[in-house]
Amino acid sequence: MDAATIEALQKLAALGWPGGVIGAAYLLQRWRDHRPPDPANALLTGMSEVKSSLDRLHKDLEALRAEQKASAADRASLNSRLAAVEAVQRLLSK
Amino acid sequence: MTGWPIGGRLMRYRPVFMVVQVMLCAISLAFYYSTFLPQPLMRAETWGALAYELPARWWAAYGVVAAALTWAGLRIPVRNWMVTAGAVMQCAQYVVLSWSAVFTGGEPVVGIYVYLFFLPLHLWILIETWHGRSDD
Repeated sequence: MDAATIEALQKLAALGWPGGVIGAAYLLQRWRDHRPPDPANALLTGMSEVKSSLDRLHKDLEALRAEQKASAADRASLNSRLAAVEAVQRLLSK
Repeated sequence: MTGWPIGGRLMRYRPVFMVVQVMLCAISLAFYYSTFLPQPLMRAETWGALAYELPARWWAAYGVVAAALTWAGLRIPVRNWMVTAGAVMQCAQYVVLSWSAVFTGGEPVVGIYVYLFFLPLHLWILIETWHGRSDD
């Protein structure tokens, strides 16, 4: 490269770097949006959602069982469902 | 909302802060490119001798970087570290420049303007960013 080309490139860099800085700041701000979500965090979030859904289901089933109107067959069905929910809850809390 | 209007209102004031940063970036660019002209916009008689410990071109370049960082950080999703870095850079610049203008032979009115307008504005940006900050 001759001296004139080097000088022209230096001039271009001296005049053009602010555009590079603004572009770099823009890309830096965007950067995290393009990273995939952390699988471990996603799993933990999913687990906690499942746990809270099960807690709600457990509460609902207990409320239904507490109602005196349910027939014996209904109560037996509710009991088996509650047992299943409790089994899954125990499994998740390990 | 009543009371002290500062703190916890970043999303409300964010567009104004961004416009300010774009303008400051434009001003810094004008100063920067003017240093290539035979008659630069920045003179020691205006900003004082202390500011001229560093070349005017460096101050202008510093202003471009700080304003670009703050502007980009204020985009959604807000990046607290970028806004903080940019605003702190600008606060430091304003303290030095206003001191230089008032106490080292510059135009005191310039220093007072910088100290009482630009510095509090960027402290406000810092307060809004760190008051109820996002998860960045």
